[in-house]
Amino acid sequence: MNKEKNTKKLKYGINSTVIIIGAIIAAVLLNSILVTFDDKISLEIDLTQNEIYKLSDSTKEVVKNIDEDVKIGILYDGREIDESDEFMSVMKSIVDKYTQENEKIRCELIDYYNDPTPLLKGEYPEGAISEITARGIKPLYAMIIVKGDEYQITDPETYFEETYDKEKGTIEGKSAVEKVLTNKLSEFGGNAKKFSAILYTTGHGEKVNRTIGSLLNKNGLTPAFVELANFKGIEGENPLLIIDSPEADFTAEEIENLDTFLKEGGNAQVYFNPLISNEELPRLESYLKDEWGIIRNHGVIYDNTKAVALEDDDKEIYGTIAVGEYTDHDILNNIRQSGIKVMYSAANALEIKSDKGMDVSISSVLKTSNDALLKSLETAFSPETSDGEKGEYNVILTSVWDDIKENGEQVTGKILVCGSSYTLDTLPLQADCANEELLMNSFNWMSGNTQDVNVEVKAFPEGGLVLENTPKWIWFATLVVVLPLAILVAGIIIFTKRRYK
Amino acid sequence: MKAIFKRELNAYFKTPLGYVFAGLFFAFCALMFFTFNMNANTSIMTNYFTNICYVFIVIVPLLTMKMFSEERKLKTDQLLLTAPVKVTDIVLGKFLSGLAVLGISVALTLVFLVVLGIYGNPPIIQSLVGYFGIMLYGAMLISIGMFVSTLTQNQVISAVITMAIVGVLTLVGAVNFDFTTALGGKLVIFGKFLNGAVDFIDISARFNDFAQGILNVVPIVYYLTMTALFVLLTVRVIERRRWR
Repeated sequence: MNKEKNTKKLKYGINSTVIIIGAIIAAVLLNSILVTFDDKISLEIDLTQNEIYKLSDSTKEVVKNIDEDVKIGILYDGREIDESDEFMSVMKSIVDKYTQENEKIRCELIDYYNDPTPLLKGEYPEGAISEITARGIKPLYAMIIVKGDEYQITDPETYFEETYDKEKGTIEGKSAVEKVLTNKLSEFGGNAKKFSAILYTTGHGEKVNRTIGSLLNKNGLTPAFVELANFKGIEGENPLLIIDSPEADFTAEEIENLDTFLKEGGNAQVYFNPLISNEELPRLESYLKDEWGIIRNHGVIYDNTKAVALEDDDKEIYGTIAVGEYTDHDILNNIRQSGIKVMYSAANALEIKSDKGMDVSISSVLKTSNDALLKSLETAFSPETSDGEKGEYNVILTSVWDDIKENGEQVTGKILVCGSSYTLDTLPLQADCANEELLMNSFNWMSGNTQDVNVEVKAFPEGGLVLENTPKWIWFATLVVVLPLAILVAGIIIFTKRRYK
Repeated sequence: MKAIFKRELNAYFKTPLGYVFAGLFFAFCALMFFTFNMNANTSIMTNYFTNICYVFIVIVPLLTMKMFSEERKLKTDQLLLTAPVKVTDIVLGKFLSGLAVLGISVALTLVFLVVLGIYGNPPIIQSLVGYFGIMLYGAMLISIGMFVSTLTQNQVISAVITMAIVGVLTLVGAVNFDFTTALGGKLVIFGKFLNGAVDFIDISARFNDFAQGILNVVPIVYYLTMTALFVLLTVRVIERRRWR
């Protein structure tokens, strides 16, 4: 009897043990398989506003191709913030997503004030740290990205944008962390050709837009000024010339210097702005027409088909701005994919000369809808007037000249002409359009570089709280003291009543 | 199972335990809410949810310490074990009653969303994902606490052991220790195994997605499988006692 009982006990014990071990193995296996799948296919749904943590397909493509260890250090000052800081949490979470996509990418937070050990131990190149200082970058939230012997620095001003909402009294934030980081990662190992400088011509009443300078600085470009009369190119360097809204014509010598520069493989961008000057510039315009096949029409485009309302700080609408139509131009490749609007304002129409003369290839970058009107400057902003020729017009054109030198070297000169300077020197500073991407893409296209990866700038979830001190402490007392006590007291009363019933 | 569930749930609220638990839980959560939302002037509850995990280290043992320990001490478990009820139903009834008490306590904290709505614009869906994560997380910890309470007659010991286990599982991820570097040489593979094991048991790291508002299948399955595993372990321990 006892033997039978013991046998049953033993059988039960073995059975039980096998079941338990089997369950543990099954649980571990199931979770391990899921983790493996999670690396390959997305098993998550980002339910945050604006899917702020979801990496775009462009980013995943860039990250997938990284085959060497990459270390990302996010800098913060322990005196000002800690790791629970909202921006820091969002940044770290986004960067962690990169690690999930490719385990060769590692990220760490570095408190450069309280614990700069990783910086001092040589884990990050000294050049990176001194570059942060030299470029005047504020280190809080800056990233140092190291891959092999190369490194990249990010400037936090390029990836956090804040606007103050007067009505709500809250600060609304936008995050371009993914955009900046992905572009930096894509620049590694590259044949990243960049212009050595952006040279703005002077001496013809050109517009001097100093604010665009900070945008260029953030993208590693240095703006400077040049007098075309004395310009013969810069030996061993690759600058980009920009002629921005000239009011006076160029001399023959200046046109000749410009032509020599371009025929030696140089690049230039010419912006017209009818609001600044709609005067004819015969020498410049003939040069563009005869040598590059681009004609400036002094009519002004009016296209309200997809116009966007312009609001001031008080949310009053004070005007509209036109939205351009995409073309197939390479400059717009990633912008087309993103679907983000390119806006333009007050533009001269540009035409392609049918009989080009020299061998150039002309393409349209941005154009109007088919229902645009070409009006005079006086009536351009009067929608009630019906003057003007209806049609489709070009806002931005490019012209490329290819030649082979005597020594067999291929030379390519490029020129971009924009009928609206506002499009490429003011609108890029606004966050809600793809004009900054258009500007940077135009630089990349002209320098022969691959395009910046275009990733959408995402708004932080609206997280502000408008709460004064007095109500705050009233809520503290209510939630932390009064309500819990009320629950306890209710419990005691109910317990006492039931007990003595 | 329904009868056991009702009986257990009533028991929580016929005695002060349910109210003490709800009151304490609410107080701790309110403190976290005040620190990470009201004082930080943000209606995003990510940091609140991330830090709530630490509250569970202390609060869950209160709920689970008496589940089976008290029955064993008072010998009322004999009645339960000899009753014509499946052990699984008994265990599930007790587990679900504990979960219901946690659910009621968590539901009370939804008032925080109302407060945020008055003074800001909280992302509701993102926050509800966090609440969903809390319930899954809490369910797993309740199943662990319930299992521990089957191992001892003493409620205090049950509470302390549960606290220790939950504490280790919650805080293990905070120790950034790389076994491969530490062991090195021929033991690198073993080091990788240990790293993997630590990653597996790090329950708070898996909660981050919920705190951020991301519904990820991986942590959902993890919490559900761990809950099921500990419920199974509890069932086996009780059945073993029945057989004896």
